[in-house]
Amino acid sequence: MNFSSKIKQNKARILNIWIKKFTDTYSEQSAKFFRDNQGQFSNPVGYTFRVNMEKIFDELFLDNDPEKMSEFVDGITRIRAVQGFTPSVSVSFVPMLRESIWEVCGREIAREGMHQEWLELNVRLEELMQLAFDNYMSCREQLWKQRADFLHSRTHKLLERAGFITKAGK
Amino acid sequence: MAISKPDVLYRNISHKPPETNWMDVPLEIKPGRYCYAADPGPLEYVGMPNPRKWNPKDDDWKLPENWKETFIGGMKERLEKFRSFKIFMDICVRCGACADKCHYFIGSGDPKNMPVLRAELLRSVYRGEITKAGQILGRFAGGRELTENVLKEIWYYYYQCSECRRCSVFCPYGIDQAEITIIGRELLNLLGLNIDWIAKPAANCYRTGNHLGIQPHAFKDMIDFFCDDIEEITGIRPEPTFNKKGADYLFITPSGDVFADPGTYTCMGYLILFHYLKEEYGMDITWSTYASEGGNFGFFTSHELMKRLNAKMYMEAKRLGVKWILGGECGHMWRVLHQYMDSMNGPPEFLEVPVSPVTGTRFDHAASTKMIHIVEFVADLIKHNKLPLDKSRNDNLRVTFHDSCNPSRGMGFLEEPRYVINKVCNNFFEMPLETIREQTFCCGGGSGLNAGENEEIRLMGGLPRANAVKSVRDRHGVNMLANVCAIDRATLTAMMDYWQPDVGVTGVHEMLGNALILPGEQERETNLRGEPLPGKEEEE
Repeated sequence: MNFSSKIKQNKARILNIWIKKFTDTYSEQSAKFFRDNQGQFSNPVGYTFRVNMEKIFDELFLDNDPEKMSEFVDGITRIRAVQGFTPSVSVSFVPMLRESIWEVCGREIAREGMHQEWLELNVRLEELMQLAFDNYMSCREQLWKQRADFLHSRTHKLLERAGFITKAGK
Repeated sequence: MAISKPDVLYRNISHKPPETNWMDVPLEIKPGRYCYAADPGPLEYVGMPNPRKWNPKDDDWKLPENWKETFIGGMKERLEKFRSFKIFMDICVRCGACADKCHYFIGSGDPKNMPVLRAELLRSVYRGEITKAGQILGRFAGGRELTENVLKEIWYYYYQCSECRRCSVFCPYGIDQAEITIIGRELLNLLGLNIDWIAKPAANCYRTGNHLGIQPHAFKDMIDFFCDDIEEITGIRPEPTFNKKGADYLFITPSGDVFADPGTYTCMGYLILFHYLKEEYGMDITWSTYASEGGNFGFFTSHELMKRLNAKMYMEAKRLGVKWILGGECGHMWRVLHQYMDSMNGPPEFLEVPVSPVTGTRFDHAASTKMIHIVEFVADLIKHNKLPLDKSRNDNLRVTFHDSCNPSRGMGFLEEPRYVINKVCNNFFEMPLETIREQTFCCGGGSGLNAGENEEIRLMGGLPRANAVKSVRDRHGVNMLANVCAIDRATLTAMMDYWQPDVGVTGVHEMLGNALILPGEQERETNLRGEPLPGKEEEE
């Protein structure tokens, strides 16, 4: 069995460990809620994490398409970017995936000497980390931009309505 | 000392927060979740206690010397005065049914945003400082002493509750966290612990008549701007009247409709409707530049201030000599009107039971308050075929509807907006049932929490709503989120920009304004936003 098949075979276990690690960044009651409530609408945070983490896992061993990955990563980081975590904790789901895979399959990978494959997977995970960081930053920048736009348009509108602005042309 | 290797260091980093009893979790006032403190000026203006400059991030909140006695005394007084508060302090069995129903908890994962725990912040003080069992058994009976840190925690979390009442729908005892928050904030206000986003609008409203402090001439100028735009689009200029004595009806709407997009387009919708009703049926509706605010931020401060701000509606109706009052699209405004106004400032004997002069429908549910909602009034007009509508002008829209908490949960106002929406547009899609009607999720900005500085908590609180919007966007291509609340229009716009950027926000009367055919109008090329109407895009 090749490296990818070995890991994919353990998908359910890896996902469970991964989700547990990630939701454990919240306090105990909240982590339990995010993990256990399966409702798409009653638990949008937990649901969105679960769905996108699974998609990330699948894509990592399929095409590893940056565009698709970006969409899945956005589902997670967009939420984390407003929850008050530090940037590193916000994107900690990426190193947690590596840990989870190693916890489940590490011994076998080492035993069978699949170091080259493990290294290659780590390169893909590094790329994923960069993607997550870029995405996190774009979310934070969007928040500040929204704030700046709001203030700008409000000020402009008040000046315009007060008759202090004369526009050239029509 | 040798430095550990990176992998060892990394393994030792624990992202898991420590497990501690909730009473021992230290308070951390996080940026993005709290609002700035109230400036002294607005507090002074309405006679609220302890006006001073202070900052929630400072250790010293500049509390009055006898702050503890004031708070506990205020609590005792309210336990006597409000039976609901007394019951809500006593009967919770901590079953947890409400725990995961609050949008702020669902979005943030902060356990103290669970309604049960939010109430417990105050309830523990009630037990520890007031009940005998709590005074003897202390923590064992769930009681604790009111310290400055406890007070700060109450302040922090009671301004993270939008009083939406979703939790109360699920409570087997019917405990209403909104009422606990209302009392909690009232107690905080005894110590001058208001937030600026509430105190300033309340004082402005008390002085000038609306939240922004727009003076009468500026209010009129803004409406004139809208009339200019309407004339450009339809070829017909509405001629609204202001403060007209002897008018038949007084119209009061949130000032957000007058100054903030996209509420301004809803305001244009009102103007088009009133013009039509005047021309076709002789309905004489006037606007007031004094009672120029439907919203009531006194509601988020104290019962007393709510009453004072609300009084102007009846006073102005009496001064102008109208028959009854028509109210615009708003959320908490309607909770105040529906549930408090009559006992606070009514019943107004000088007004008549609202009867539509067009259809003859008598609005008996408002027989005492004498004030009806514009959406129910319009639904009745449409039901009687009194409004010529061209739905196709809204064909570019695929619409879903967000039930605002106060009209839906607070007054059972569920069908009327949907009826109107279905009559003014062809593409309407409901969000999942567990996210609408009585179970609707708050926009995240209710109860005066729509400040600039606490956007993160609003986005977290808005996530359950945004998530439901996403589902209808993915399934039906929804691109417009309709609602009947000015705070929704402000909050949801920023929220959609972040969570679902391809979905816009509209008031119901904006769509009505687009669909309503005015006699003698020119062929419209654009909608009220100045965007080309469906089928007119090529001519651009």
